[in-house]
Amino acid sequence: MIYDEAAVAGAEEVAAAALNDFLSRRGSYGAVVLSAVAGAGKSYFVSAAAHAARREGMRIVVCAPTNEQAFSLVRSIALMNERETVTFYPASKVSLPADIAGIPNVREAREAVGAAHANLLIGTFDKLGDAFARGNLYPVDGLLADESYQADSGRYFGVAGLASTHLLVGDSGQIDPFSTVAMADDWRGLEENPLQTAVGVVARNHPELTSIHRFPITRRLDDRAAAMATAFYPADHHFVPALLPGVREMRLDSSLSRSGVATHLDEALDLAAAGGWAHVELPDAAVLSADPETLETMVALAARLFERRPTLRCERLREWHPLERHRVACVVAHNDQKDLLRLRLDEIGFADVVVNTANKLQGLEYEVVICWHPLAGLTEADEFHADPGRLCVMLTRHRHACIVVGRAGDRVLVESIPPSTPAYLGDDHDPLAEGWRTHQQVFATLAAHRVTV
Amino acid sequence: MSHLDALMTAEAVESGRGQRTSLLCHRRLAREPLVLVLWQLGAEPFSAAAIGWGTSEADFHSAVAGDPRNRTLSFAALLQLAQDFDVWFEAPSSRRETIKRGKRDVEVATTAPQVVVANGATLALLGRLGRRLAYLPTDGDDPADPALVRLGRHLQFLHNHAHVPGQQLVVVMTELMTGNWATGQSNVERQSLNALDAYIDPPEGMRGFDAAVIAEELSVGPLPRGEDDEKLEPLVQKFNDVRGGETSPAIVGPLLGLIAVHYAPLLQRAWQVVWRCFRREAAFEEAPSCERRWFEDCRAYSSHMDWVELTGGRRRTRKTARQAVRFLHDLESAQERLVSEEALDDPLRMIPYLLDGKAIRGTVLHVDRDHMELATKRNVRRPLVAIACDEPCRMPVGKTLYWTGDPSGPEWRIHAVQNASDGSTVTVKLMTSSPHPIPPPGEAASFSILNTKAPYWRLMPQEDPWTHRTEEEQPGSEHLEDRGGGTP
Repeated sequence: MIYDEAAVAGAEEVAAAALNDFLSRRGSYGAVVLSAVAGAGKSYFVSAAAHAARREGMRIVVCAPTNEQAFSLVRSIALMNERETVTFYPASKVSLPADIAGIPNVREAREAVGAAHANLLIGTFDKLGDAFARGNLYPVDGLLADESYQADSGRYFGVAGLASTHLLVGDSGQIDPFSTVAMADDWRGLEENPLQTAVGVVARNHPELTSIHRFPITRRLDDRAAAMATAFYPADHHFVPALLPGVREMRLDSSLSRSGVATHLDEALDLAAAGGWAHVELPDAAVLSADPETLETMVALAARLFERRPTLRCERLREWHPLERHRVACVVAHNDQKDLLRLRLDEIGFADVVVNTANKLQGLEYEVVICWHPLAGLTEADEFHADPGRLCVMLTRHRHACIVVGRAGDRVLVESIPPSTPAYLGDDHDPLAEGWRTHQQVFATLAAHRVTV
Repeated sequence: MSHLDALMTAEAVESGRGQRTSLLCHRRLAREPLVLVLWQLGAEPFSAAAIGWGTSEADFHSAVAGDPRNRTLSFAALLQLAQDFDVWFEAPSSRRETIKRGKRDVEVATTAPQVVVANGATLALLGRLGRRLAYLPTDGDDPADPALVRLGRHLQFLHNHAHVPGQQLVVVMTELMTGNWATGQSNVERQSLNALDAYIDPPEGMRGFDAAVIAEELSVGPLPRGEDDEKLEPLVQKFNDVRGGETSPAIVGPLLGLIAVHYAPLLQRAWQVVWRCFRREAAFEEAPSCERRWFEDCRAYSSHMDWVELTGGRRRTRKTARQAVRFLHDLESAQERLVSEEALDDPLRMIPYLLDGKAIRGTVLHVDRDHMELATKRNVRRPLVAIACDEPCRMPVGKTLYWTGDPSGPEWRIHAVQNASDGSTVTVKLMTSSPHPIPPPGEAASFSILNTKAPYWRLMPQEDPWTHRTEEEQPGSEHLEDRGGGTP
């Protein structure tokens, strides 16, 4: 037995119900929302929905907030619908990666005319919105949006007129739309707020036309990771891992005796291999964002991981097989951390280990993730660093293990009473207080996997 | 906090006085701004108990309401401000020049009015006063003076425009100084203009910290200290007893004396510190990019004045979904551009980028204008510039940069990095084959992630989509302001 058959069957029922709901609303105003947790198989669902909608003869547009997300939609939709031409509408400076562009049924629309006549058009919210505003696109039968809890109301404004019937798929636990200008908070709780989510605005303006389906499983996360992930979702969103415990395993060569820090590294790697988690705590210190000590610890962890020749087995590949470097990601909160880490990993010959910010890794999946804790070495847990969505992305990208690197003072930052925050009529969200609570819960769960340096 | 801010803050604590974090002044400071100081009564947030204004330190005007909780008395004091303010504020609108914008000609005022206030709380009070006055009826039983309504609409515009990053129609002194000075104070402590001013330039023989502790006790409004209002309370009580419900100027005027005497030193305190700070900042050379932003300010002002001319200036109290999307996009674009311009204008402001590994600086070693490489299909010219830097380069190959000598120009990419113990050689590649300026060998050059390209203009669909319309609104309903003078 690999899967929890009952849970998988239950999930398939929800998916089928959501899809039927969408198809049956063709021709009338309505939004069908499928809310899912990290690694639920949303991309698969979007592809299947696109397939089903086309089979019914619906003309559809599919959109996602970023180019990378749109690329991966092009790939998965094209591979699932081999007889269907999939048209990607890129912004002028963007083109599909060669391997996706090379799929026989994928076409890139460089001219508006090609896009306007496509039966299945994919693009970012911004590109499709711009083309629609220019009069280069005409309304079609259905709009499918991925990552619709990350797409803000402003972007949605641009594309929503493309169809009367919408299928909005997304993960409510990930990073909320945000702005670089503080004034945006003045709109909180108001219907015109351009920073509410796409799902939020349609549910608010048209509750009777919006139906919300909740997907009850996660495929990426196993029991160990899913237990942590409950911290990121509303208590009434029940979900279980599709996978049964013990199916995924990671083995490391026995740690040869080493002195100093290496023993901590080995301890952390052993914990991660056995329990799916490790929390490496460096000594308490107030540091600037690109702290060299944290950085070197992450580099050393990656290096030591591969020295110990990691092998894996899982539901996809039951045989033991080596972990490949491109299946390992380092996730950080800031670009300067990313740049420095990239540089150091390149220096030790680990150019294929992925390094990126949480925002850019949304929707992606790796075997092992090394995470630069967002609160590491801070003196204050501000809204950006305490954001529960960012932490959610960081801690839900992995299939086998996640190693979190932080500092001993980090826990103290969220131990006291949260600071008072302004309240907004009509908006029950308090991002800082929620982040506070989520971080506490995560630190508590990590306690069993903690290695103090 | 950037590395530079951390260092400068430490220096400020060490030396006992504020340390400059920019070489230039990054806002245009007008020759004749209107300084406005306000006091409110206790925590009553929608009226002004005492107002001081004028366009030079010597040109001080003031008005006190007596009891601002009384609408007639409150409006009488505000009307005195309105009569001066409206004339001064509207005057620049009559001098226009014609500017080509695409196919359209727009008439833009050659200059614009600038209002200077002490702190964010004063600006917020002006916004609330604007909201209160802007919709008053000017006919019927109890008509308001049209000058008051006009004042309200101008204040509403200014309060809204003040959200635009880098705007210069409203100068909030604490914000301007926080951006230009490091002190050993928290952000909350810096909201007190008196304390901030004292830390930056403490009296002879005193350390900034100690001077700020004393200065902090003296508020510059609009919220009064409890002790001040305790002294005021019996005066207001007596004033109300004597006037016996009367509000006519003939009766009230002579009774205001003691209250005016109470406020005179408070208004003077605020007045003097604002002017002192204003002069200190104005002594620094203006950053080159202020000119561009001033032009944007003049455009916004002109468009507001056109709206006032055309319709009287009445606006929605809240933005439509469409207006909010547009406004947020504009604010974010302005913010991005402002951050870039400030760093590119000012070598001190560039330092955090160098320290954070977001910029490199060095001497051009050689230039290869004829370097060719394979783009998607054919060989294209991609000039290379090698730079010797004193610091190791922490940016990866492939990172997009802009030459600080041509920050609105084409993209460059890091092509190769050779780090050595005493610095690095970084080769950057111009990402276009069309001729563009290139830094010459032997010269100093900097490349950073910052650019000053015009932001992209977000196009909006003609109709509001069904998702963003609420029940009451019909499809295709259009708001007058979407066509006319823009948002408040």
